[in-house]
Amino acid sequence: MKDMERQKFENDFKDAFEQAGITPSDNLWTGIELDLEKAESKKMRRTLLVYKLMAAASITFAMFVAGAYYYAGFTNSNRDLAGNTLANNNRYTESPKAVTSATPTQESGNSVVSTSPDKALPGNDESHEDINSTTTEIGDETNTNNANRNVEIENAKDVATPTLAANNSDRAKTIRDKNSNAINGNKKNENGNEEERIVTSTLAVNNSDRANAIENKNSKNKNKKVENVNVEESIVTSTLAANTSDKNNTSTNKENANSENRNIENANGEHIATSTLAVNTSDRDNSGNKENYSTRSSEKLVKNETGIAIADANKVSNSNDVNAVLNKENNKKDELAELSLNDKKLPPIVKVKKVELDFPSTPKPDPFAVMMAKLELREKELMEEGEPKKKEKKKTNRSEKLWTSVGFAAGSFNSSSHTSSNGSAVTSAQSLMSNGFNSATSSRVASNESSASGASYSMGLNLGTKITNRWIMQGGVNYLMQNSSYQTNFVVTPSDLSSFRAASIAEFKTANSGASSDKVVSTAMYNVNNNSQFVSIPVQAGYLAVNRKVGFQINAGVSTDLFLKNIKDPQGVDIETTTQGRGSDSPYRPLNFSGLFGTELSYKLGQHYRLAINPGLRYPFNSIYKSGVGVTSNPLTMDIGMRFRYIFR
Amino acid sequence: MCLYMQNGRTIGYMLSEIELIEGCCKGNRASQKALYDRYCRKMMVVCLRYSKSTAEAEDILQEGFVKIFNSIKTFRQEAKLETWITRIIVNTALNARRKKLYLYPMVDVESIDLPEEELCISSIHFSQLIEMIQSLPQGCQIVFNLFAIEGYSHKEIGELLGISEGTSKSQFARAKSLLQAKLLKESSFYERYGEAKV
Repeated sequence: MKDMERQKFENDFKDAFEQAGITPSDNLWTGIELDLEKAESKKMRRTLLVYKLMAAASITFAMFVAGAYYYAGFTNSNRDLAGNTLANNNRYTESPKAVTSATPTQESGNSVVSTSPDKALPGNDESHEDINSTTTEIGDETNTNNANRNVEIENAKDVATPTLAANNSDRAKTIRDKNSNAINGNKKNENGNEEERIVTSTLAVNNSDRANAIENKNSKNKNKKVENVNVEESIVTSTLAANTSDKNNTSTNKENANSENRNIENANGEHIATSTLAVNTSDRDNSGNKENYSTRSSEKLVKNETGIAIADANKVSNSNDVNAVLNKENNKKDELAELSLNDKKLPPIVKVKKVELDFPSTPKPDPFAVMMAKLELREKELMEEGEPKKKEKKKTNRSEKLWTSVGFAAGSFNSSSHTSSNGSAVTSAQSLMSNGFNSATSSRVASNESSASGASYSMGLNLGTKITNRWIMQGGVNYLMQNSSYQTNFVVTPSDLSSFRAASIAEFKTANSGASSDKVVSTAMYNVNNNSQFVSIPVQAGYLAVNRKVGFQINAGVSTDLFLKNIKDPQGVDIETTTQGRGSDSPYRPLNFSGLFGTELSYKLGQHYRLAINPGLRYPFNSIYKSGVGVTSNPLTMDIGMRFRYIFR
Repeated sequence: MCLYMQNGRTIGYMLSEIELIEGCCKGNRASQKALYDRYCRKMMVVCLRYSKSTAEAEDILQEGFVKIFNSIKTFRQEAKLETWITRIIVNTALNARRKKLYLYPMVDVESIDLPEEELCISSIHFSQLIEMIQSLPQGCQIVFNLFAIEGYSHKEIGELLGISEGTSKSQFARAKSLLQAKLLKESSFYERYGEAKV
């Protein structure tokens, strides 16, 4: 009974408040509105901040990409220059016979005769025929200049080709078949990689050029083609192509002569690049064509493209003109209509009086009370804002105790190498001399390989922690890749000549250890892409110079680099790619220690994220090659990376 | 949208609950004002029950409505809008009071034994009842409101306020006995002077 009554007591209270309502003061809604507006402005600020950050990140990324692209271009141009210099040097140092025999023919201007050195690659008859077929005599005096020019530009290739073909120098023929050159050139183009493209395509064109020169003695089109392929002269060709199309188009459109001419200029301007590309592409593709359609077809392409462009441009310009005229007419009509209406307008008969309703004014809250309420609110806001800010400050200083980061870095390395006279890769036993493993050859290969500079890439995961307020420690695991390219004119082959491998330090080391009976033969100069891969475990100490939203820290430490493998990818025909792992037969040291130094500029994105750009240096304390190899190489790596950090606490 | 009538006359159109919610989700100030106008009176009573003064109640109400407008997008319409709003207001009130509860921790209290007389609450105006509730000690006031009016169990109250179930029960018993004493006083006053007080 007592419980029932108590239950009733509670229910009575509940019911009493069921329909109850008390009107709050009028200022309350004003306060709510103010709070809502404040919250909205905060949201806006946050959105703006996100946009700002996005913009900053995109600019950083764009700069990074542009830098990498510029760097890649710079490295390639350096490599090409180095390749040409080496090729020229080799011509005058390694193949004196070829030079002496070739020079008089160039000077005479009537024939390009290549002779082969004593040592060469035997066994490939097809290639011998192809290469021999490049030995062409040109009897026509009218093409002398063109031939000479091409010979001058492609000096290196002229030497390289006869060297490849050298085996059959005795059987060197004077062939007047113009097409064989072109076919040969086409084959080479198909095999060409990007790095070698310039050289091979020039070779192809050089060959086809000779063919063309023979076939079309006085043709200007052929001369254009020759110029097209040489990069330096491509602009001239495009201009020529553009001029040709200009003429054609001008002649077809006679009615609107002035406007069309303007359009033609614009269209030509736009299509200079395209036409050059078209001519170059078609040249490359059709260099082996018997009737040498390449130049003609490319010219047709150019004409067509320019024609279309002119047609479009005409349409646009004509439609613009028509629109402009129509607009003017419409405007005039409107003005006239307005004038006529204003003239015909009659004065109003009845003037309508404006009725103004006078409502009793709604009771307004006392402005003083409102002002006081607002002031009170503001005071509260300030009080509230002040405290969290202090707390936040403390929080930011205390936070970022532990973090992890993923990163990527790209850069370059310059190798400071040294080749000594003692070592398994350099010296060779007397028994191996007959196989070509002599000291001069090995030291040249070793020097080329170990001193090659290139690009370095790394990516990995890091973990960092704060030791004191300013000092941090970080470490992790990175995958490191170093790409370089060097040139050599030697290949290693078994005694039965069944396969060819690029001459390298590893090959010389194996040969010297007596583990193989392979021999070294000289060949045409070719590029070898040298790729070394490591797993790097860096441990770094860092000093936080700036520890705010924008952070700046200086890092230094040591990295343990575990050698994974080395891949040699030769760019020559029929030369195998070789992979060298760890082990006793490997010339590479399995474990290296490198010094690290770098800076890190970062920006905090929200509570848990930080984006950082970190340029750095890496220098190995010891050579990447084993001590007994006879070659030392300490590549100094300079890279710039980007890290995305997640802050745990 | 439905007709809004007063004294048998149509004086305007009233937005439906869904329209109000949609408007508030878009941040439409007129919809927010309409929602406020619809529920402010009722919620003011809730705030008064949990506070000691009108000013304090208004602060809670303001803070509560700002929270409502900022988080109305999360309202899934599984419960009634009024229930959802009341829960937010109660939580806001509890947050505001919690700071003070730290200063005055709730401890077990003994109830007062009262004569078993039938008390008639319906005859007392709700504003008086509010005054009575406001006059209760802080802990008792909150526990009484949560248990008797909001309908929470003692276990839930214990979890909500971070106190034991027993403490909640004893606080409620104390609140109830205090209220009964006040009500007895009021009823004797009515008996003596009639119901013309209010």
